[in-house]
Amino acid sequence: MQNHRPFWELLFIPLVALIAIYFLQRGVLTQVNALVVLGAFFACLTLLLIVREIALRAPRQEQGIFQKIQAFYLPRGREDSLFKRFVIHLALITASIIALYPALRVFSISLRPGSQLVSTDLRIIPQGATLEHYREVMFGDPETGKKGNFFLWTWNSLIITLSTAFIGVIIAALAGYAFSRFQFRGRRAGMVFFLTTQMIPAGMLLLPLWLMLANLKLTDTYLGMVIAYSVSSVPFSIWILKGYYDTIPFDLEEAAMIDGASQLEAFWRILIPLSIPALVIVFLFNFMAAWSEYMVANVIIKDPMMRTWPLGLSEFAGSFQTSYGPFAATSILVAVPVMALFLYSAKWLIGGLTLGSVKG
Amino acid sequence: MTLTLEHVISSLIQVSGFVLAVILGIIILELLLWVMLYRRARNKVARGAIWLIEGWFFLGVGFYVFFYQVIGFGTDMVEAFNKLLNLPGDLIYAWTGLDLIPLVHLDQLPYPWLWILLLFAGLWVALYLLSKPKPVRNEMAYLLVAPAVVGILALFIYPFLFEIRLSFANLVLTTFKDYRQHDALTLFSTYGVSLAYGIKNYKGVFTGTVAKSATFWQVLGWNVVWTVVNVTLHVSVGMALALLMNRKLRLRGLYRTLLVIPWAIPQVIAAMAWKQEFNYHYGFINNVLQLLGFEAINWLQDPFHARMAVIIVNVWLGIPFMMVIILGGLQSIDKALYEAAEIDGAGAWAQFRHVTLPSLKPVITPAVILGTVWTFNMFNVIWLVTQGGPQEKTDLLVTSLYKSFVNFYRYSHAAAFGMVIFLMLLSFTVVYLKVTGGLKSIYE
Repeated sequence: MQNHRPFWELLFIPLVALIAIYFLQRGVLTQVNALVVLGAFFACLTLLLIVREIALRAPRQEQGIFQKIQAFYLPRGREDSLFKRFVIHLALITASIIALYPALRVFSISLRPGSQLVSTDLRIIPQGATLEHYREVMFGDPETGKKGNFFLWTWNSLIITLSTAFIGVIIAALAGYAFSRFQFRGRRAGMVFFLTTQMIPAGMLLLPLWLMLANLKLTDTYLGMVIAYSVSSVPFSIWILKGYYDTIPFDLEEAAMIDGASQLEAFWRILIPLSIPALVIVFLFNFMAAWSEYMVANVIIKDPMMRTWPLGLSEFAGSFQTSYGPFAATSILVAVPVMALFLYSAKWLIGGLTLGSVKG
Repeated sequence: MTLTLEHVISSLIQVSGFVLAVILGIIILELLLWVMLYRRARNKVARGAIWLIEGWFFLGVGFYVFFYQVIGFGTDMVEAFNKLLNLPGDLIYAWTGLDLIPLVHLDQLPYPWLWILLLFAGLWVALYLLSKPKPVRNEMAYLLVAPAVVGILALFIYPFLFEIRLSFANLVLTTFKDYRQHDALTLFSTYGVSLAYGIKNYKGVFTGTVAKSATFWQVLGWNVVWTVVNVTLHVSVGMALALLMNRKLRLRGLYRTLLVIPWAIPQVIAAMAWKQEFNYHYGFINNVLQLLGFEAINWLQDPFHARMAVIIVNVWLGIPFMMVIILGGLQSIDKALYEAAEIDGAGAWAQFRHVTLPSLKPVITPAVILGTVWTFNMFNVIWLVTQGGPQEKTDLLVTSLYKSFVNFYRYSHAAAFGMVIFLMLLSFTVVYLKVTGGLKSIYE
């Protein structure tokens, strides 16, 4: 095995090392940290390549830590050539940095001490990093006597979002079952009807919706917000749930009904427990759609006590020079749980998005 | 402003009360529909009685809507509920002339809602006793769909019709009070509605300015450019990344997670954070540009660069979605197809052209349509990064619409404008569905 490695692959090592030296030298001379980091990156790459070549060219080891290193580098099935893989990794690392850096920037700004809020610093962990902005948005600032309103905003968002998602799931679970299991008159028309409502952009119905809520004196209330949000994701949820119900064989319910259960019992006792994963996903989808909604909330809510977090954040956006830090800290506090939730459930959400299409 | 215990308790009471009311409403609706769909009258007399009760119920609802909307106690919710409570008495008086109002003045009784429920229960029991079971097939479907239909009717269809009505009115900031005093801010009111207003409003959309200074055609033109540029970049970059990751590669899972992050961040936060990064002195984009030896750009001040800026943000936000969808599609392609192509002597490009693209088509088409609609109607990025500025040069149709009634109080104009946008999107959808036959997959 070790004798079949092409010799020219070794040439990569000096090449990468030269790049590393070039960047390191330029960086140290001009005192630009970014270039030093780049140089260090290429230096690490050089080391990695050396380890790899040794591992691949050395005789096969049977045990020990070196065996593990070797096993990591041994080709698994058909792989691309080293050069190709190098280019691919380089492209993907660049893309990852572009994807990640703006997000990390918010994090880095949230750590900046007040004196350095506006600076041209590009580092992720700033000099003199501090958690003062987190304390300020959560518990207030004792020096200026300003109160922290992070909990208020989050609570408002949470209570509106949870009840919205709850109502949405109940309605969609029932309707999805009908569309999945029954060939009733009006089924086609119903599906098209639900689909068409989804074509109406939210901004379009905002004016009549706001007038309706104002007429009922429901602006600036939780009720108004829940009403405005509750059905907006229902058509989409019905679609996802119908697709999921379709994958559960009807035989299960039929067997229950032969044993004397009514159709409603079969639905409740058999289908609902089986489709809990889908219901959770639909709940999450409804939750996330309402959680970071800005446009409707901005029209319906004017009272500072009723603000949801997107509105609160945009309040910071008004005076950015001074509230850059609190903005970043609030963003991180709100975004991290939601991102975790999203990354966890992304697989199912995407499955739902493409469900209708892949089948056809 | 901070969170207090009273606020927590009062909000919990409000919201849980509402959720319970919704559940109760669904139960009442289901019970009523059940007795109507699952049972039939015992005999001719019973049929007449059932007709009477059901007729009363529907007429009651109809009358309520009529009173509520036309005669106009719609401005005060408390009063409206009181009217609802007294509806039975009012109806009896209206139909028979019998003044039973003191008897059935429910709002003067303790626990008024209890009486309403008791009345309903009584009517329901009467319906039940007057009927017997009948054979059913698909009736349950209607029971299941009913709550969704009621919700959609109330919160999509009613506002939609209301919007049409508004577009034929003359509602602006100065006339708002007048309309309000005449209770004309409801669907069925006829005050201040005329064809002339409608013609003026719809003509104004196409000939006048839509928000402040930009015209409909300018906004539409930029909206189309914005959509095409964004979707093209989303698909091409997403496809490139997906192709790179669809290989035997170490750390693939890590890359995937990292690259999905722009999608996972709440859009509102991403947009507001990006806005700061376009700051001339302190944004990282200019800092990086200067580091690389370019000149700093005044991103948000001149139209061209502002447009570039919003496109950068939206491309950054939108690529992960396309990438993930395309990657999913790539992974589901049968490897045997590639082996067969290789045996036939197809190179990498030919394989991509004749195997990958055709196999991806069913996955990409709906994703592109979805992405197009999302991009076309993108509100958050534009509003939170540039507010449509400078000089409304980055405004999309949605943000212009939003501005026209939130900032400039041109309500009737906004209604007409909204209808125009809706009709455009609808025709796009219809054409798309016709071309691809996309509705089939929904039916089956």
